[in-house]
Formats: sequence, structure tokens, C-alpha cells
Amino acid sequence: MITEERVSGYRKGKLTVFGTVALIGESSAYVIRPETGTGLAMDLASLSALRKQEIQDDLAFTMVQRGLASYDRSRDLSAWHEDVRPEFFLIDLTKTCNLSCRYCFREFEKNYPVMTEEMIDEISSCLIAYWREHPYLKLSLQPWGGEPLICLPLIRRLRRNFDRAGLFPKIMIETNGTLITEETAAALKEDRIDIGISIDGNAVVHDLQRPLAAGGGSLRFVEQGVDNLRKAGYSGFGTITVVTENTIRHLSEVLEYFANLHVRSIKLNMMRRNSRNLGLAPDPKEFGGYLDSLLGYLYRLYQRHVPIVEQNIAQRLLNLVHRPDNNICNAHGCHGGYRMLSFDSLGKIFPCELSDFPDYCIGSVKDHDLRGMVEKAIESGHEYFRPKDQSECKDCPWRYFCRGGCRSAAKFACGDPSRLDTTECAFNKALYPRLVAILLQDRGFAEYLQSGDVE
Amino acid sequence: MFRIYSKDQSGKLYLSPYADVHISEELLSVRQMIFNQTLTFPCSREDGKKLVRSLQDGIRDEDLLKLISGISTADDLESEEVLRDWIRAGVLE
Repeated sequence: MITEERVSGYRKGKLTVFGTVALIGESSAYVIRPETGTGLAMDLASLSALRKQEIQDDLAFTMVQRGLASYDRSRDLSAWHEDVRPEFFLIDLTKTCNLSCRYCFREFEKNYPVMTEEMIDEISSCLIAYWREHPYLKLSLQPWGGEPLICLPLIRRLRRNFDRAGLFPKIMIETNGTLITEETAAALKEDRIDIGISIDGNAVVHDLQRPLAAGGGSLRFVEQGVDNLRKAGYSGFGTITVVTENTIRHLSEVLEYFANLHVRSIKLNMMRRNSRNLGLAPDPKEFGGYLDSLLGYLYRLYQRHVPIVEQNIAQRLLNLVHRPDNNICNAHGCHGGYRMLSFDSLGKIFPCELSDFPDYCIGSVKDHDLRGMVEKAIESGHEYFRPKDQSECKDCPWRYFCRGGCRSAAKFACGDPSRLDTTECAFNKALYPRLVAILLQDRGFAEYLQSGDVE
Repeated sequence: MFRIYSKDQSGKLYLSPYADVHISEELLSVRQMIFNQTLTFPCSREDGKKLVRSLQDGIRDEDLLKLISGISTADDLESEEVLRDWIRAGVLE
């Protein structure tokens, strides 16, 4: 296993070596600078030299190139500034759903209207104008709900509006899969809609957690939907799973179920506690055991050459190896507003789909200056954009990636988005050291965890 | 791409893990993500792949200079300038 040690920074001549945290394995260590999220794996002899402040020129050069040291104030990685450039847009079509999931956090207000055709046209116009003004952006749109396929004609209309404008954003949905008939699958394929399906695993777990609103299990309808997608030519869709106490109890069956379903990409999202179903959310103390089981099972799939990738693990490995800053939630803390915005069915705009508290509205579809809208909200000290209180994070090696976690989760949990998202914090603290251990000990398995590729 | 630094690697240059590489028919383009620097190098797709593979495996600077000269029209001095630019941008380590 991995041990953690602070390594002090120092200055020697024109060389400044920054303070780092070393995660030490049996024959090598991974050294990370928490402020920048950059790191370097090294053998123990090199770590020893670093501790003694006696590193040779070659190691000093590599550390400078990774932002772990600077030479004659060569570069300053800490002068990082986040631009406001929303590229990912959620469009909240409806809160209606044909399932009654036990952990659902959406408020099913009776007076919340389904989006109209006029509104989807107005949102399309707004986004088309925005994209034409900022053509270097890569726009992705996600109609969601409730169950988005209840509003399939609106999703198709959205695609048509962009096609007519000669613009081709990525459009994706996350669906419960139960409404995917052969006709629906063909329509989605024709409109180039990417699909993610919410499945919680085998019938024992899925049907318990995701029953039909009318009663009864939903898995057989989901499986029919998957079959229909495949008949329509879909092969690359992924699944999204909410991890609860039940999932942990049945983890190996759940993962075996996905392997047998021949799904290429799975995403196991840890359930966060909410007021409705406190008993279902795993206790953060269980995360370590859960991750050991998950990684152990993925190792067996790796040995069996089963091509499958778990996206939360893959993202965090990418963070450690390449620091790509590519994920709105997990690569460098929360980018709500900065990189994503959410439209509700009345055309009101929120920084994130999970932040649809009435006072979190920062503008409307009638205002085409989406960047200006966000910048104004930030400047005015809008609660959502207040800096995270990271006083509890100062000693954490993973703070660049986590930055206090999800703002909306903190708002739900304690009413203050600037507080720590305790689930994300505990999850990162449990997962990252395990991933460092894998990187140092078994690069083949680490590669597999990043891509799911098998020889 | 993930490597464990040791003294044995001393004297070799490697592609930074923070480099985002794009290879097209006529251009190798590299964005260094942590220093936000972008460099381009005119070469064929095949030569671009060869160059990147060599850098991933690690290459001595004199061999890299020969490689650069071999796949571009650069003379020795220009090749050295290319190398210095890549180091300054943090693309090589």
C-alpha cells in the first residue's frame, strides 16, 4: 500500500523546488504539487535526493518542466485564470418521469410545465447566436428531465433547428431506457443523438431502486430498449449507475451484469445523501472497501480481456497522468456557469442543472450574451459563484482536482454551496491513493482502467 | 506515456505528459496544457508519428536533432532552435 509524506520545498541558487506530497510505494513514489495538480513518478533513490535537497540537474530539469520547480522564476503555473466559456448546455424539457427512483433528487412540482415547441426554438436561436459569436467553442447539448424521451419530438426539433443553421453540436441524452421502442431508436440514430442509459445493475438492485411509477420492476423494459438501440445500429452507448448501499452489497453481480450486457462504458456515481432517502446513500467510511472491491473486480475483467471502462476511475487516472482539465465536475472542481449552463422549460438559465433553486436563476433565454450573464453573476457575488471555503483542504494532495467538490451537492447538504462536498472529498481521498498504487505497480492495468482497451 | 523517473533515463528527452498532440497530413501540432503554449512543426503524418513515438520512448538530444533534420528542411542551426523552442514551451522534459 501507499504511504503519504510531505516533502519540503527549498531554494538553491536560481532553482526553487516547490513543496510536494509524496505517495510512496514499494520501489517508487509519485510526487504531486497540490496547488497545481502536476506530478512526477520517480524511483526511491530520486525521492531520497529530493528529501535531502540534493537533486541532480536532470531531475531538476524534469521537475521544472512539470511545474514542480522553477528556475530563475522561469514560469509560474499558479497564475492560472479560469475563463467563462460555456460549452455544455442542459435543457430541462420536463420533470415528468415514468419511473419512481428511490433516490431521485428532482422536485416534482405539479405546476412545472413541459417545455413547448416555441421555447425549444427560442433556446435553439439563443445557442445558435451564441455559437456564431464564439465559433471556436465546441458545443454539446443535453436535453434532460425527468425522462427526456417523454419529449422526443422536442429533441428531434432541437436537432432540426441546428441542422437548418448548418451547425452540428453533439447532442446527447441520459435516458432510463424504458421508452426506447424500435421506432424511437431509429429516430435517435437518424438524428445522431448520443445515448447514456441509467441502469443500476441486475434485476435485484435495479428493480428495487428504479421501479416504474405505476409499480413493478423496470429492468426488462430497459433491456428491451438496449436491444432496440443495437438493432438501430448503436454500439457505443454507455450506462450510468447510482451507487447505493444495495449496489455495494451486490457489487460483483452488478458488474458481471454489465460485462454480460457488453457495455463498453459504465459510470458508477456515488449517491449523495438527501433528505428523502438517507438510508440508501453509502457511508463515506465504506468508500475504501467499495473501491477495493470495484478495482479488484475490474482487474478480473482486465485479466479476462473484457473491454470496459469505468468513467469516474478513468477520469481520475487521467487527472494524475495528464491533468487535462477536461471534465466539468471532476478534473478541476466545479465549473458550473463557467463551462456549463442549464435552461429550464420557461427559458430561465441556471449555472448547473442541479442548481435550479429559484434564486439561482442568472438570466433568461432572451439574453443572448451568455458569457456576460455569467460574468455579471460572478462580479455581483452571486452565492453560487462564491469561492469555495477550502480551509479543510490545505493539506490535501488532491485539492487541485477536487477543489471542494460539487457546489450543488453542498447546497443540498448544508444550504451553502461554498462548503465542502463531503461525498466528493471522501471519494477522492479513498480513490486517488489506490490509483497511484496501480500506476506505480501495474502500468498495463492502469492503461486498461483509463481506456478499457484490451489487446 | 506514464514513466517512472530514474537516473537511468538521464540524458534522454521525453514528450511531456501534459502535451496534447495533434497530427494532420502536413503538421504536427502540440499544445502544452499546463503552460498553455502551442507549437507547430511542419511534417508528414508518418514523420509526425515517428517523432512522437521516439519522444514517448525517450531520445538523446543528438539523435533528436538528426531526426528533426531528417524529416524537415531545417539545417543544423534551425533544428537546434526547434529543440530549444520545444524545451522552452515545456513540450520536452
